[in-house]
Amino acid sequence: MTVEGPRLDSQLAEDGALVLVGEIDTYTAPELQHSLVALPDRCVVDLAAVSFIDSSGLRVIVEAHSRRRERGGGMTLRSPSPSVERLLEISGVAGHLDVEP
Amino acid sequence: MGTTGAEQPPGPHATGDELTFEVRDRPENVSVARRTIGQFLGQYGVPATMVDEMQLVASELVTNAMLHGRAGPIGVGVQVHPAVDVTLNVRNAGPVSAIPPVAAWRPPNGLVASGRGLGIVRTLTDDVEVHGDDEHAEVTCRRRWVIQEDAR
Repeated sequence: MTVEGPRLDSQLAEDGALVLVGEIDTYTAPELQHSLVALPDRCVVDLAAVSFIDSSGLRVIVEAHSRRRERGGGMTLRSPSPSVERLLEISGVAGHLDVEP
Repeated sequence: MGTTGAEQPPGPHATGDELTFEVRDRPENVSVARRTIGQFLGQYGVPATMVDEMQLVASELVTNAMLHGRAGPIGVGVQVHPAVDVTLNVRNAGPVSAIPPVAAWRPPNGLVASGRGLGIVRTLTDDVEVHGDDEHAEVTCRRRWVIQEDAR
């Protein structure tokens, strides 16, 4: 059986936001980390097309957020789907990250 | 082979349906487990939010089994008792002592960078049990069926 892992694609939108498409878990988290490191200290990450995030993905997001805060910057998570927004709430990070509709 | 309480009892809850499968311990297979469970639960009319949550629970437990268990396949079992509950069981090779006691699975809060996964499992399930010995470890958790109107 050919195993097909989850996919996570990312690309920069015209407004500079990083648009993510796919699922964020232990397999795709390193790719996400790579993409986030390349962003400026103040950045927007668009989650509209992200269907799933677990704690492996959250760890990468929380670290990227905290690092920017320390440098006086920030990272805004934009347009999470209702189910991803719930995952952020369940995992206790929603009130600590900058999330906008 | 000794019989212990660690094996899944065929027991009194045999009214629902059950799915068991294994995945190899490679990170790309966590999504295979999520998808397989999602498809199975969907067949039984499990509410969509509950399916999402059980997929998250499975993702956390299978990831944990891969990171902290010994090399070898990860066994997954799902039992559905329609309108009653869903039970998920995840097994891996390795000492059960690699799994922290359930009392230490704190509901996640704040921006602590790691250790969030088991807290998420505890938050989303109603009962969690850890069984095993020096050779195998397994986590079984139960989630009560939540009847809810789907917004869509």
